[in-house]
Amino acid sequence: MAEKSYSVEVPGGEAPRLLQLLRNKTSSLIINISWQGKDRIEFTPNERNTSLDNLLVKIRLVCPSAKIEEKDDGEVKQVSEVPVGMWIEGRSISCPNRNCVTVQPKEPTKPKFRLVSWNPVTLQCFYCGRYIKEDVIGQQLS
Amino acid sequence: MSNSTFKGRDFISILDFRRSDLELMFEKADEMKRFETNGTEILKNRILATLFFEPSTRTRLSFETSMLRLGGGVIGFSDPSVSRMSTGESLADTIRMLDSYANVIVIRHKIEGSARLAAEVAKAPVINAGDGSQHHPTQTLTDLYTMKKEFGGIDGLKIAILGDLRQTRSASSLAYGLSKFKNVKLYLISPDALRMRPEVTDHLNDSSVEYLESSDVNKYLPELDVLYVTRLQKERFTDPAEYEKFRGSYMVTLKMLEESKKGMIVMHHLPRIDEIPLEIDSTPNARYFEQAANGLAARMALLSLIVE
Ligand SMILES: [Zn+2]
Repeated sequence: MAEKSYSVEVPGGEAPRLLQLLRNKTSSLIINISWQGKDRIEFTPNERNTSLDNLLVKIRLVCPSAKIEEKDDGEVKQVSEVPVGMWIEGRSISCPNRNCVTVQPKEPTKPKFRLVSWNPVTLQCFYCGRYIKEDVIGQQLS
Repeated sequence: MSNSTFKGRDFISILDFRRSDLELMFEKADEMKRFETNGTEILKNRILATLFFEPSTRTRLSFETSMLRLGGGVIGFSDPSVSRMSTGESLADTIRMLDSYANVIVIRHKIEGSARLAAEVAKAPVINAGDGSQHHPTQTLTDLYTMKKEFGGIDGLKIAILGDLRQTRSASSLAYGLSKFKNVKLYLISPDALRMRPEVTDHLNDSSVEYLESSDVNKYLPELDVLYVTRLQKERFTDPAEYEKFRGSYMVTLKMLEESKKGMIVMHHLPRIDEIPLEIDSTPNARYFEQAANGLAARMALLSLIVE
């Protein structure tokens, strides 16, 4: 079975911000810096990478204007936008509110965040209800 | 809507309930008024656990009295230093232990999101008695019930919320609760630095609630049905001179009441410091003691619907 691969086009100079996200999560990775004023990253996710959806969401969180294409057995299709209101789970983003129960070391929480807006990128912590702003998300993910 | 849709449900945010749920709770609270003094047995053999990790005498006493008037029993603590928590036990473990004793758990904690975590861990329904800066659903239930009793309904009311709107959970929670009703107009009155959080105003926008933000309530007094007062806390100001400047303009005066619409009521979640001077107590506008008293029927209604 042919592997799915992805092509991500972002504004020139933004590709390096995504590399940290993709590290150890791809079986192949090609970067074209400033391809016609845009950067382009082509990658094939690791077979074992079970959180592909999360990975694509994170790429969009770091670069909201990213155009993502999926190549599946020669067929190319656009990966659609993540709709506002979607929940993003996991510990790759942590709530910046130091008084939030998700950052208390002993408590067994599973952090999750609602996507409030793409412009600016804003998430909302399920537990404390606080907003997390674009700059904080960018810092944490890249 | 039947009572059975409430049984076993958590009450973490006022947003967890629909308008029709709130209206059923108002009806139930009216029924509960007759048991306020002599009590009933409808929750006989049921146990309420009150876990107050942060002091709040009024809210705790109101819950405990509600459960006792309903014929149930109460366990719990109001000083975490006497519990295992002081030796470093996690909140989740404390909840798991009490979950096996209690039919309903009421929690107040200074860590934000604690009530949500407690609800995930516990099989028994969990009621949030206040956490963080946004949620205090039983205070809001009491506030909405008081407005409903006073005006016959909440739709179309013009309500100013005055004070520290950024940190006061009763204020945010009330704004969330009012968003369930139609044609309510909100006047969010605070110093610039203490405006309602964007999480709350975004919700008001999404719910098409008409609201304005201002630092001066006086020009709106002739329009208002309700003036809901909260405390300005000195420690929230980086400059003490700023606090002194604002303090005076966030105190209710007899002159303000003279300029207000006839029938406007003054509410406060109590305890007050000096934002409502004693001379206001005897005016026909004061409703904060009735409001506090309504908390008993409102909490009895909630407990009976969740636990019965
Ligand atoms: Zn949080």
